[in-house]
Amino acid sequence: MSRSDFILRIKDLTVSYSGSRKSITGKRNIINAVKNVSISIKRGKTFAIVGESGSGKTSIAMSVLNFVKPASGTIEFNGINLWNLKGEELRKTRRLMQPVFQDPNSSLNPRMTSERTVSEGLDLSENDKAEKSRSLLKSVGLGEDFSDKYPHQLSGGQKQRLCIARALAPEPELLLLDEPVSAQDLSIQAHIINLLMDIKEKKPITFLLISHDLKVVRTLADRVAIMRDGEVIEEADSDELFSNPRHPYTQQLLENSGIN
Amino acid sequence: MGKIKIILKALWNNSSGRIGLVIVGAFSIISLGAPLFSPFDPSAQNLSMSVRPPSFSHLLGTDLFGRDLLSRLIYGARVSMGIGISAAFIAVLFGTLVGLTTGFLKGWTDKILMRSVDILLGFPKLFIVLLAVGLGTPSIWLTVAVLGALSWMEVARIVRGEVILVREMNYVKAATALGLKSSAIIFRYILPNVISTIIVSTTLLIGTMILVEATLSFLGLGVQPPDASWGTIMNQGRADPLGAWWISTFAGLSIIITLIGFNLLGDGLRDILDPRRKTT
Repeated sequence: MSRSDFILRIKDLTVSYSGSRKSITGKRNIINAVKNVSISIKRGKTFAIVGESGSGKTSIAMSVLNFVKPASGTIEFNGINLWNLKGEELRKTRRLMQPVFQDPNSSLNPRMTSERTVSEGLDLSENDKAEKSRSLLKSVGLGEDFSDKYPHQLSGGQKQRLCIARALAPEPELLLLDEPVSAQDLSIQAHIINLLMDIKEKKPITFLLISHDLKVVRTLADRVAIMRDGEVIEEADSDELFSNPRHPYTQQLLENSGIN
Repeated sequence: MGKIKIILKALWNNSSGRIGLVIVGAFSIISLGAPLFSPFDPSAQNLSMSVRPPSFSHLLGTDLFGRDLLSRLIYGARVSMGIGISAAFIAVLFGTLVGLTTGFLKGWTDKILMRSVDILLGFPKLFIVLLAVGLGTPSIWLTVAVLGALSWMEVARIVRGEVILVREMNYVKAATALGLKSSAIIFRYILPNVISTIIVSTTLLIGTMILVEATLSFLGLGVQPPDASWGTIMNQGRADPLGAWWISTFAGLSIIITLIGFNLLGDGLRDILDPRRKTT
């Protein structure tokens, strides 16, 4: 397959954390949060990783974003292993994939206005920055009034919109959505999901959605991987998975969520 | 300017902040305008007026050389507060630098620097002061340098702790993902979010520094005559603490009131600047 088909290829990824030591001389016990996971994500599609908390889905995101070094395995973004890059090269490449986190409260610098927050991701002259950040804010539904607002002056939904605007600023090819709506009220959830679908429609962008909420996944995802205890137990196209779940765990998840 | 106004207003509405602001403000004005407020030349000797108790002509009495105690305390405020503020400033500057570096870099840099801080904290401070004073000649500048050099470690620890908390926030991760340089992340994302802690600890440290300076000067290891801080004035009252009670008493009161002022101001600032303590 050529480079253009898959934007992200994860091969045999294992992510481990060292736990606490039993004594000063004792060995740290190692916890594998992700075990030999292989996933390939098609360009322009929405790929969802589903699992309960502790299943390792966020650890995958942290490794993809270059925050947690994998114990083994490779992650290739556009055919490049980010862990082999340093300095300027790494900074430029990582701009093409942007995260949106679950809790918008801790995702926004409390000392920066909305406009400033968005302009931090822009590589433009000062004048163009102001204009571009305003148009980005507008594109996520935050009008002129919001430019000078600080995070504590915004509601939860507005904060998450601001986070999305910031993530869009460097014109990323991949958006990592880590439980993007689960901290929001139901009505706000719907607005944010609509916004995400809008973005998808207008831009050739790939989503990596991480969620435990199957309703959100069903609405957004083209392909789904189900994780349990650090392993992918089932991967299928969304339609296929929701109509014909194979693994008993998947069947149980669907049953519990009340979708089928 | 707008921010300073807001902070002052919030301080005024905070009970301890208001008292602290009044005391520190009053003492600052007095020491800045010392020539305006002191009724006599602080170093003019008048041996015929030696060791007089408080009276109408000399409100707080006179010392052994017949110098007006009130005027000496007013000029002493300059020295004591000047030393306290300068020493605290040095300690905070250096401590912040070390705390930011170690907190942000993690790993071996952090381990080595923080273990050095632990070792430095383990040194008996009085011993180092005696050594420094023994090697050089006691003076205002030496006192400032020694006090600053002995106090930055606590600041470094506090700042490091805060930096470690802020560093793990998602907005720092988001900034990293945007490809911002470390310097931008430190100065735009981390420093602005730990600055209130730094301001509070500076205020509290000034009080401590004034007290330590007074101790040193009282022992004759700090400010030397003809310069006089509150500590040196207290030392002069040591000769006859019961007979000439006013000398040490008023010098001691000045130290206590200033210390209370800076501590209350620090508490007030912590109340209004620390977002975790906000009730609304």
